[in-house]
Amino acid sequence: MSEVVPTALAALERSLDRRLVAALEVCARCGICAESCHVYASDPAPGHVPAARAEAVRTIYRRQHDPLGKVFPWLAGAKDLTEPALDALVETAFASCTLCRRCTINCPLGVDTALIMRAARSMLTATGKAPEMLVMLADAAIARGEHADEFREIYREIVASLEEEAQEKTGDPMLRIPPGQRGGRHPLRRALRRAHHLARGDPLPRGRGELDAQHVRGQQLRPLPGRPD
Amino acid sequence: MTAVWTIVLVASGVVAAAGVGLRLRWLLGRPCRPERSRVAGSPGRGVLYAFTWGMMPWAKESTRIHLLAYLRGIVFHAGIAAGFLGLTLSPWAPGMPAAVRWLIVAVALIGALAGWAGLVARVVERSLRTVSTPDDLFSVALVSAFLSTAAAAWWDPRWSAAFFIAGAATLIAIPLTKIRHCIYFVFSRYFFGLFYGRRGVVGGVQHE
Repeated sequence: MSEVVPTALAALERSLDRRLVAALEVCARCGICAESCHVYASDPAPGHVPAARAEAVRTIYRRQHDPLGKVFPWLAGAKDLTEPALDALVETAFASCTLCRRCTINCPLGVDTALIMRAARSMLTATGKAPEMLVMLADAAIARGEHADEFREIYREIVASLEEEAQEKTGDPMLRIPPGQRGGRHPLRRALRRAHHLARGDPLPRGRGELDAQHVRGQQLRPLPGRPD
Repeated sequence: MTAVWTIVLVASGVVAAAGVGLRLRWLLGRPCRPERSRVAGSPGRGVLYAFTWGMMPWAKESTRIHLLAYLRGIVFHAGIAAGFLGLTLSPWAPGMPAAVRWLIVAVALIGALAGWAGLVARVVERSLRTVSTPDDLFSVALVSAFLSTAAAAWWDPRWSAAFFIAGAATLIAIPLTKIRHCIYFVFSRYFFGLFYGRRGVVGGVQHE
């Protein structure tokens, strides 16, 4: 028997902390999270609903830890992990989820689907199925002992070049991408408004190692003079 | 309520409590990993937001889009509260004021309708059908039946036996089926508040 499946299950087991267990157990599969996902907004396939994405891990978890899933897997929606299922999980965990956590903010229960996808990524990395480039980058950062925060200056330079590019593309010389600074229009908000229904004051993901975009505050969203936002 | 029904319901309640206890023990036995992100806000205010303003239907894009589905859920859960209140008060039902009786009937009945509507939505809507498991359908049907019989029994006591059977089945199903999400809801919202409060995403924190 291949070692892949036991290795993946062991990785899932190591990931199972309180937050992950709560995220795996609490989902009511109401589907309300669908439109909050960028991927679903651009390609509204049922498989792109965050709840459906997380089900790929939940089915495995239920088979391992849910009493009903052990006895009546068909009723609980539990499945044994197989290598083809792991292969399918690569697309789900690495390509169709960016871990942006918009679905978590928009979930009435606060289901942390990104955390579940991170567990899936751990399983895939442990079994050598993660995209090679990502593994190399992560290994290099770990080998050099570099924290994401140490790339802050490089990040600012990249954002500055993106700012110029965005100004050219939109024809808006006033467009600013101000990481960690007051003022300017929220670039993430601008992008999101194309696909989502945002209201003033809606929280947007922000955090070190995630999206370091300016937090949405009323005064920061005020349109610049003469240019409606 | 006869002694037999009392024994059945109390036994079901004990099974439910034991099952919930075991699940909580397993959850709390898992490690609680420390947060490593830089503190940019207040975890406490984040938790407060998670259980208050963050629960409001206008606070999220998803609930603004799916307002009817959200309200259906709220009504359903209010019905569940009425159903269990009705089950608890059953021994004293004959002496209950009419206002209490009709309140339980009304809230349980509307909750039942919301539940059955949710079940239909799970079958009819493509996305919901995709994400639903057999357990979802079973659990929603069971709880909707419980609420239907609750309304019927408080309207006409001849339905009491059906109500007690549905009540006992629902109690036993709590730790075993999808109904258990009620246990994890508090933890999930708490972790949500901690996570986003610390990062200053929620909780009304001013940023640099």
